[in-house]
Amino acid sequence: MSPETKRELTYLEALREAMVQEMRLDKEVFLIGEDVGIYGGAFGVSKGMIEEFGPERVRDTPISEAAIAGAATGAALMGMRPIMEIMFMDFLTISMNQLVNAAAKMRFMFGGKCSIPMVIRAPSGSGTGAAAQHSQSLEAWFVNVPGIKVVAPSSPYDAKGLLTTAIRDNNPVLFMEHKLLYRLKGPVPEESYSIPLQSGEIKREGRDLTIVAYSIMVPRALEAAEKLAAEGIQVEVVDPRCLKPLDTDTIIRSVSKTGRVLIVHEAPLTGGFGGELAAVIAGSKAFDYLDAPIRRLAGLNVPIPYNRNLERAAVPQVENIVVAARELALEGK
Amino acid sequence: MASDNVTIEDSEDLMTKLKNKVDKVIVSGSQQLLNTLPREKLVWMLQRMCEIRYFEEKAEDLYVRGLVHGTMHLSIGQEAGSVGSIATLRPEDLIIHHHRGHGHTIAKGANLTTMFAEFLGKEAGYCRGRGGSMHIADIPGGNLGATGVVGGGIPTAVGIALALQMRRSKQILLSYFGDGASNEGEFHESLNMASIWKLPVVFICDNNQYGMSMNVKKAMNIQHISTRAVSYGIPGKTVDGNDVLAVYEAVMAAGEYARSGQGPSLIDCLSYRWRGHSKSDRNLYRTSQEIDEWKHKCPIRRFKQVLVDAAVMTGDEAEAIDQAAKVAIDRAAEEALTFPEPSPENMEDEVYAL
Amino acid sequence: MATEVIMPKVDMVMETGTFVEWLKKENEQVSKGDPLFVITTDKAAIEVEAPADGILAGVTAKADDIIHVTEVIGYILAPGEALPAKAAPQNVAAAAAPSLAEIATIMEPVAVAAEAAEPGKLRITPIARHLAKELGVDLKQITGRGPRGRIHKADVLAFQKPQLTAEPKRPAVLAPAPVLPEIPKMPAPAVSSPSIQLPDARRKQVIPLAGARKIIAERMTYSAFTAPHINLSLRVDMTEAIRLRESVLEPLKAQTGQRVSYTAILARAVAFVLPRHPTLNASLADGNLILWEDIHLGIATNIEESLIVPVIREAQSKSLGQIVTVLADLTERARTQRLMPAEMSGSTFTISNLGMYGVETFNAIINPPESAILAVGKMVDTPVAHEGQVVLRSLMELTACADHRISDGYTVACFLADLKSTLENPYLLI
Repeated sequence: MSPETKRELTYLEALREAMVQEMRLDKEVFLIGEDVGIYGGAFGVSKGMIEEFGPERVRDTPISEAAIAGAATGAALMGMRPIMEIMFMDFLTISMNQLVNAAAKMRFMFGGKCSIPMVIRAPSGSGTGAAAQHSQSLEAWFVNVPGIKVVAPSSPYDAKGLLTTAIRDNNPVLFMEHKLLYRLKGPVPEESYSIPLQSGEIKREGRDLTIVAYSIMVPRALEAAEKLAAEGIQVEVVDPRCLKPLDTDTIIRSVSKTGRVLIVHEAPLTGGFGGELAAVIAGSKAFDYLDAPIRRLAGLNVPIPYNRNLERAAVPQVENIVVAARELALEGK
Repeated sequence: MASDNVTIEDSEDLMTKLKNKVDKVIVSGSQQLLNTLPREKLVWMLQRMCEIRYFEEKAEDLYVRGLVHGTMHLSIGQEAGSVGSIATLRPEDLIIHHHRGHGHTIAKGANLTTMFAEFLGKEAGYCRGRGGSMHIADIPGGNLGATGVVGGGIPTAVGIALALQMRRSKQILLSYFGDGASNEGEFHESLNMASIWKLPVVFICDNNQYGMSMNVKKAMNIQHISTRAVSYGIPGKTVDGNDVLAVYEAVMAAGEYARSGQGPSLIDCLSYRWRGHSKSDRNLYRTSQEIDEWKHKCPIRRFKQVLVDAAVMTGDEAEAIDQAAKVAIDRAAEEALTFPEPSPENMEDEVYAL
Repeated sequence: MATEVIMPKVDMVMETGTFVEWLKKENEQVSKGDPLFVITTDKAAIEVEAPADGILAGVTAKADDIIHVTEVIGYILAPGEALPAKAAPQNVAAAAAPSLAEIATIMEPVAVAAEAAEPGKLRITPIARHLAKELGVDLKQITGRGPRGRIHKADVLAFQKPQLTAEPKRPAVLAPAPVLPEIPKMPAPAVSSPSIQLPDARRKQVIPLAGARKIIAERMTYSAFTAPHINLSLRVDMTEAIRLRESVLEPLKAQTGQRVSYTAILARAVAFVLPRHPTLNASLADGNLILWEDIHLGIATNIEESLIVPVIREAQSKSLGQIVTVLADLTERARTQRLMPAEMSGSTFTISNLGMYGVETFNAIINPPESAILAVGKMVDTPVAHEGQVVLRSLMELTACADHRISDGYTVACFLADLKSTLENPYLLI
């Protein structure tokens, strides 16, 4: 579970290391996006890369999210391995035609005679005061498009390993990076390594209740679990890491063990990925072991507000997870 | 100054010229080509144009007989645009096109039977029946596919050309789209990006004067689509899209421009489609008179006349080529009708590459 | 008033900046807009301009200081201005974190209980329902402590009303299971219970006989007084079995991730031998003797002072490795109370091993509707005669307890002898 190394990197540095190592290995991998070159990336992820790889492979673009997505799709169609960076996940809306109607579909539409090996990296999430149009988590949209895979790592170790795998995958992969995770520090091995996509992880073992969480909600769930342990409630935290393809086995096994599950995500509740998770659990053998209804804790159905307190209130915080988990653990007891 | 790059023939002027010379042949600057191009090339061009015409008519026939699912977008009357441009390509060059792309697909060397098979949704089709008329592709043959979303191929063209450049290839890409697509946001983003990086692509507008029902004059506030080239600092040219040699000349020049690393150009091929936008189009937005006028400018009839007048071939030889095309089409369709259907099993396994 | 020079916020997520250097000296004249000092954030070095004209004074920041955004690091004094008396500690206007009570719980809105409970329809969780069936508990008698009276697992476990019917209930199964014959009605005890006085002693605790305990009481009584038990013992030299275990320990651990236990080896040996002695894997029902094709081995297990019997199904066709895996899984889940009722019933033969608690030999009561049970004792180093020498061998006493209505002493003796020779030449078991 935890890598055996003392070396710590931030999530952001881990992403950079994955890209750098892959770009060293394979000349056909390149990074394209707004301000990824000299500027080092809007969040600093690609700092230093243009110095090593040059402006062709760390390629700045005009503000043209549709053309960026098309550029990545076309280059991937030709067999290159582009990594496109969209500055805020919110702007994927401008790339949607190329991603959904072309990249996701060309392999199937053309009878399996081509593949589109590209990565779409997108900083997501709220908590920085960037407000409604720069704070969204749109993963549920893409989960519902056949042809695109969706990854949402929660730790530096997972970030590096999963980005490496995404780059090597021969399909379009949406790679969701929560902005608040960029500064998170954790152990990261120096050598290149790859984490398979459809593999969830139990980040904390427990007996009384399962929390299924991903991205920023994993560190929050872990913090909540720590607090609840003091009350004698042992929480198991399951991080699927990859939303599509989804490792259902790990989730089902955990819920079968504890009999109670709380699903937590930042995106708004209605139509969110939590509904898919709940249905997967309810339709599985875990149903027979349930001792309480499946519960979801998610963002309010609002655009993210600007005011700091309103912004906090709009998505689950540690305190909310504690309250919800405690309630669920004690239901019927 | 960017305007130096753009040679625009005033389209009003062109229209008037064309109207006045309805029964006469117009050869705009292509006389030299008749002398310099090898005979096989000219024959090839006529063969392809005839094949496209008969293919479209046959496809239409299959459709009205209820054998084709969905709809189709016929390019009858626009044969010169696809053939004239693709005739300039080397075998390793690439194209990416659109829903009205049967002509491009045939000109790029598609197998007629396999094409019909795709239209009929057969397993033996180019896309194994999964794509149909609007999404036909022959990837190994350099035909990187049609798209059903107007303008959707243009940003992808940027990426393809980017790969060619990054690999230091000598290949070029022809990116086709219609007049309506030139008003899509993606068109502008893409021409800009291709231009700043000098990508090896030629953007070709198959301008048949109509989006679906909206005349191009109502859809833009400028006279010529090629004017837009100015905005992106690239060369632009309007040509008579029904003169296959004029198209050849313009695209050859633009292709060499791209191949030499100087970047993209925009070519506006003025033409007309005889049939409606799709099979459900009832042509309420144009007059039958207009349609007839353009039928008189049939590119195939004109080209045959040009070739005979220049003594490249006799009238009988031209007819023989025409008839051979019809026979080939009929045979291909007959064969394709016998092919088996694809199986619905395991479709989900086809979505992702391993 | 003196103009504050502060650590500026230069990007969205910045909380602190690292001070690099002053570009002007203390007491130097500066103009508004002059580059005044340099900081670094995560991304780059940034020059910060002077916010006003005047003299730079009261400088506190130095190279490599990590300073919070908006913290004052100096002042610019216009002519006649003085430094503030003491730089007041920064009250970073932290917005009061919303208290727990104020934070809207972003839970799924739970439908408010405006719904009347439908008559005859019970609110109960899936696991509680299964458990109730298994324990033979009447749901209508249980009070659920969950929302709107929903019955949870804990409610079933805590249910304490004694059963009034004398009939032991058929064990519940979840998956489609073979139809078990009804256990015949428990007869009244042969002797009517005399009135027995309770001693005059202080009570430590009074526990109603209920739940699993009650069921065990009924079944053991039934078995003891219905099936005439005969108990045959012999001692098995486990030397070779120990050697076998040692040699397969690593490979099986690699294969299954588990350590081979003696219980697993015993189970394998019994499953191997039992087909040759079918009356010991049988049941009496409706006047018929049913010889079972399958050997579903019950392994009597103590979990928190309760007896449960997880079952290794179809043990006759499982290899040692498979038995190890299944046994480990059943034991683990038994420990964590995650066994399904179907996994705790339906055995055709039971093994009870008290050797780990030091017991060397004992008689067990057959688990109805089975016809035999194997009681296993501790392995004891014992001096024995071997080729004229006295050597120490590890001997384990096995007692086979069988229903004499079905099996005679000879049959049981053959079974034991067979089992002994198999355990003493265990290489056939792999």
